[in-house]
Amino acid sequence: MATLVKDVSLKQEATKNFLQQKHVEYLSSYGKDKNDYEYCMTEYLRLSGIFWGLTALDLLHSKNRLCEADIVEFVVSCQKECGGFGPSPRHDDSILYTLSAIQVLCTYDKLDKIDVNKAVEYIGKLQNEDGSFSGDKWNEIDTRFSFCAVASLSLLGRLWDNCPINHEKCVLFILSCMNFDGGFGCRPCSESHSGQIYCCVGALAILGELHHVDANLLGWWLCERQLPSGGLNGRPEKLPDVCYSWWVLSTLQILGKLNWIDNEGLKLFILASQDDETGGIADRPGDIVDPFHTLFGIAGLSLLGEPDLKQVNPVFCMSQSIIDKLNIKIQILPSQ
Amino acid sequence: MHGRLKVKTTAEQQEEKRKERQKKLKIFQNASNTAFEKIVSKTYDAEGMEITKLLLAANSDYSSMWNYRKNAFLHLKTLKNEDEMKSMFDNELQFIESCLRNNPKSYGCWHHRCFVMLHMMKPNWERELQLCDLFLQFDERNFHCWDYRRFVTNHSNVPHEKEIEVTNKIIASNFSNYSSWHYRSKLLPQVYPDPTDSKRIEEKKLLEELELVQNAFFTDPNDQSAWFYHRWLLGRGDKEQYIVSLIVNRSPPSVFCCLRKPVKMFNGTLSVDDTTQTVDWTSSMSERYSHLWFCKLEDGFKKGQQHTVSCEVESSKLSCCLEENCQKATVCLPINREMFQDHTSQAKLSVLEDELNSCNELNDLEPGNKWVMLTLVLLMRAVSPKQHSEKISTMLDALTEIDSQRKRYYLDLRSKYAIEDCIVETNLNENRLNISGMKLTQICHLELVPTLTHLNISHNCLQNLTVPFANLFCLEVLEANDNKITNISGLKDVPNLKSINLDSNDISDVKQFEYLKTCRCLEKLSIRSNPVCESEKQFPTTFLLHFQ
Repeated sequence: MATLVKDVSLKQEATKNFLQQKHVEYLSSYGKDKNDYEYCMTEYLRLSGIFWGLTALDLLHSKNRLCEADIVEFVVSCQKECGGFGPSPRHDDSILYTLSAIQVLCTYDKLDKIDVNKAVEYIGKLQNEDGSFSGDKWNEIDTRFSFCAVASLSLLGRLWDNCPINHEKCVLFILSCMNFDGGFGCRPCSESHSGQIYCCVGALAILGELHHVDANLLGWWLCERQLPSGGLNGRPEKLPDVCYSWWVLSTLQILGKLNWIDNEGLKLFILASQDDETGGIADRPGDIVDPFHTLFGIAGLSLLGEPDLKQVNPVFCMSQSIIDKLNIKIQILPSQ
Repeated sequence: MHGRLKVKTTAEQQEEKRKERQKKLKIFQNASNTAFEKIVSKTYDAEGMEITKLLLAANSDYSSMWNYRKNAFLHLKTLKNEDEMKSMFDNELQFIESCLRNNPKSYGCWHHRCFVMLHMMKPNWERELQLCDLFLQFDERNFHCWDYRRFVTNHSNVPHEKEIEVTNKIIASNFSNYSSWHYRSKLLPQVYPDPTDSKRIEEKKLLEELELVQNAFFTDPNDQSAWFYHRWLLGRGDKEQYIVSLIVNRSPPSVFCCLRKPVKMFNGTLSVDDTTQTVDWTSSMSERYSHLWFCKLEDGFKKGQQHTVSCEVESSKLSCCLEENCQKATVCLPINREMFQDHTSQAKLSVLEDELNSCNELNDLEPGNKWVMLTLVLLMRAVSPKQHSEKISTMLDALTEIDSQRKRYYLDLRSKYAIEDCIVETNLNENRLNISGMKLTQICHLELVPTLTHLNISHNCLQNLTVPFANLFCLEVLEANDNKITNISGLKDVPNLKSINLDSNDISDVKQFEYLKTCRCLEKLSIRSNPVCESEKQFPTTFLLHFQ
């Protein structure tokens, strides 16, 4: 029966092997040319870019391909007087890059290089009366920022002891963003979107409040993201995109419903999105690669059990070994 | 970063592009340097405004530049008069709109627009609503625009009814409707709230809405959004808290209270023979939120006497009779269908039955449409689960073929229904539940049957016993043979478990049995015909001794 479904089709000759070594080369050489156009134009998100590249290499057992000292120095230079981090030294602070900074330093076990107390203080000040979080002093509110706050504090070891935020209000705000389909949006009344869902479910998992989520209903909405091509989209009637292999898949893992999608089909979609010339992974087959999609494709493959990759933590998108070392326990619903 | 097709170009074309880009880059970087100088020195002048405009036109996600402009406006507001500010803000709105035309999904653009509107002396909200109409025409699924629209309507007191009408129009034009149905799901409960649940719609309106969505999916059975919305209309709101069961022990005197919804702290009122007791409830599970709560009774029970023990929380009360010669008493709330689905009024039942008939017709006209089939399952379940139980199973089995990517979803749903049907039919006061031979792929609802002493889950398709069996506080015998079990992590800390049958499963890792060490009453364990049995060396003597 023909259905008019927005999707892509995988070519017969699409890559079916995981091009491990090619990705290592792609990621380690990204950013080496400081005059590269794309690289320069993305200065406004540099810290996050570093997180994506470093984490992808770590999952590929190759984080030693980057210069730790240079990166740590760069991260430190991004911390501002207020305690928050900008994406690059000159740029304004935001909770988004504060999380990226913390993730990168945890990967290198170098949290002691920054002013942790000031960072904690910065995050605490961003919580509003209703429990929501602003991205920065300009007061944009978004559940992404709730996730950034909770995940940051968790990694800094300041979520339970000496915590600057109100857990209960934080949870209430997140729940106020729950929708008819079991999903979550940016703000109360915002439409459900896989990225926001990952942020909300991730935050609740860190806080141990997953019982508020209707796992059956949301799990169903999430497994309906899988399209005939095997790829996952972010919400109904949208094209598949490799980054949703992460946002959707990790949420399914947290909810214990990873087996509600066709794992093999998704794997083939991610593999087909690799570039067998340059290495790296794109949003979908045939498109231009970038570190963002490379990380999320690799992280997705790790969740799917790719044996040559390190095990990834579904909440933090960092290798599980780092999370274990930090002694962080998150709530995951049993997978049957 | 999204949707950029890799196009093969010649070396010449590549070099040409590289040169052009280097030119662009140089301009961009020089401008950035100047801009950052002005940011640091807090210089809010015409040059700064001009440069940041250029930068943002090239990259509307360049947050620091939007921030500069915000700072500039705040600064200028202290210097300029109202007319000058109005002119500046109007120009800014025009500029933002031009950025939005190129980047309708830029968080920075939309937020900056909010900033401008909030700082204008006389903001024109009507014009903003028109802007939203325009951008929603470009892309009805642009959630940034929808969120901005809600910002506008909130600030200008646009009545919800008007917005409902907007969604009517969009839905009627039959194109990519999910955002509109979603908006309705928020608007309708505000205008027509269900008296028992403010997030749901009152019945009369709900029935109208069912008709509306039915028209939508009959017109276009492949429009997903209508099916999703329909599922919500069929569904239920928040579950109430219930005390599911009480377990009373005479000596030492204690009470276990089992709740339907897990809580962090339990403040239930406990009475013995109508006298309220002062008790300290502690959780019996290691998770932060628990279904199972325990308290000791200071005064204890009188030997050889009958006592009535009651527990009350919210609007739920359960009482238990500890008889004269008994050491223990348990009482279980009879689990009826309402535990699993809403009570359906006659009016609603009538509408759903009509819908069921129409969907059956649609299924005949368009066989193999998974949305129709799943909705038929949900409707049959809502109308008469017992009467339709075989049809429901058959339909779900068919769905595993038609929509094989989601096979496991349908099998798990089938299992859930089978377990619910069995629980409803079982007299739980006999403390035995038999859900064997039902092709189960999952176990659920254990927290509703905590007084079970015997549970039979044998001859199913279970792979992982990972749900917390510790909820089955009274369980003594577990029959789990003839499944595909590899993982038994859920069997830890089951305090009264004496006998487990795990014959004919797929356990290959001897470490799995470590979990059973926390079942302190375990006397009998049968694990014949598991891969782990193949190697005798796998069983260290200490392991065997523990179970003697």
